[in-house]
Amino acid sequence: MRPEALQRALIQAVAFGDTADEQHLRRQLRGIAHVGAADYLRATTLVCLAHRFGEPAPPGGAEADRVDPPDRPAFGHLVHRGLLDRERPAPAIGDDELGRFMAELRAAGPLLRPPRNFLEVEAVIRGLYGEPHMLEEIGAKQQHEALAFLLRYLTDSIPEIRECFEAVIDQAQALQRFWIIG
Amino acid sequence: MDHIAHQALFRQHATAMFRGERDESHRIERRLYPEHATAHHLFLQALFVTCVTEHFGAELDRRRLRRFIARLKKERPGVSPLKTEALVRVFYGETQLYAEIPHVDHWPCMWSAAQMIVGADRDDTALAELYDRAEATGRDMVDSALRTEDLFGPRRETAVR
Repeated sequence: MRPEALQRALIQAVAFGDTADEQHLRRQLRGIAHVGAADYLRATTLVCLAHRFGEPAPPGGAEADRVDPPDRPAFGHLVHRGLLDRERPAPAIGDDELGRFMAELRAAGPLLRPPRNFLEVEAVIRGLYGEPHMLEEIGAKQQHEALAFLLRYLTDSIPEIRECFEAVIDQAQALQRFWIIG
Repeated sequence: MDHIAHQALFRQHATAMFRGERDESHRIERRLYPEHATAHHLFLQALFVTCVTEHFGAELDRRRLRRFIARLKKERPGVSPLKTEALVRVFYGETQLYAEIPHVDHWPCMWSAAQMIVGADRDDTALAELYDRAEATGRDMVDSALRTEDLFGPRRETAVR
């Protein structure tokens, strides 16, 4: 399988909770591709979180403040420059909104394989949205588990993500290109 | 050591912690540990809740908490902002977070927050009054924990009384 096809198949298996496929595909990753898989996971989860929390208002409120990714696939309208900008993280999610989301996550059934520590999941979300220092407190393995669980949950609970998952991956690729070349 | 003696030691230890007398606090810790570790932890928890309630009041304003944690981040490098914030939220009703904060972090997080709130300048009378309130809070916590289905329900149970 070509590297890109492998990454696409792998992130799809992670999102749809297909453990057997995921393990089979993960065994085919070579060298740097493991880092690539981690980037795919982060980018794809970010695209899905942006869908869940909507597009935050641009800082200046002006349409001109928005930046289109270079080639904008179907899911492009969901990505706000905050998510594309490492120097200026996305604005924080409101406490009430995040509290409601955390309550939903805690209520997710065992089939979605929730992690044991939801405080770490909260820290990862806040780390991605406005409080990057939160990520410093969470180890790589816990970050991976939190991101994978969030991706499974959002894929399970939002029909558009399930139905347009190829477009979600396209957007996640655009996001990763932006991380590399700006 | 009877309970009067270790109650007095808890208080002396706290005073040393607030005034930054590290030799003295270590000396007392050596007398208390390990036999009285759990009792001492309960005292610390009660003291923490008392300080936090003194600072934040009956209802937690999350913006104030954020400012407090930003200060902690600046003044106490090495102490976890995430876990300190979570420990405060536990006692304002988010009890589910309690089990998600590793126990080894409770001591540095709780003492740092308490020290930031109390400061180093309170005299013996003011500290004795604080400890009286902490002990009353501790008794309430144990009492209410045994009467409610929450892990710790003191904030919700006693704040409205």
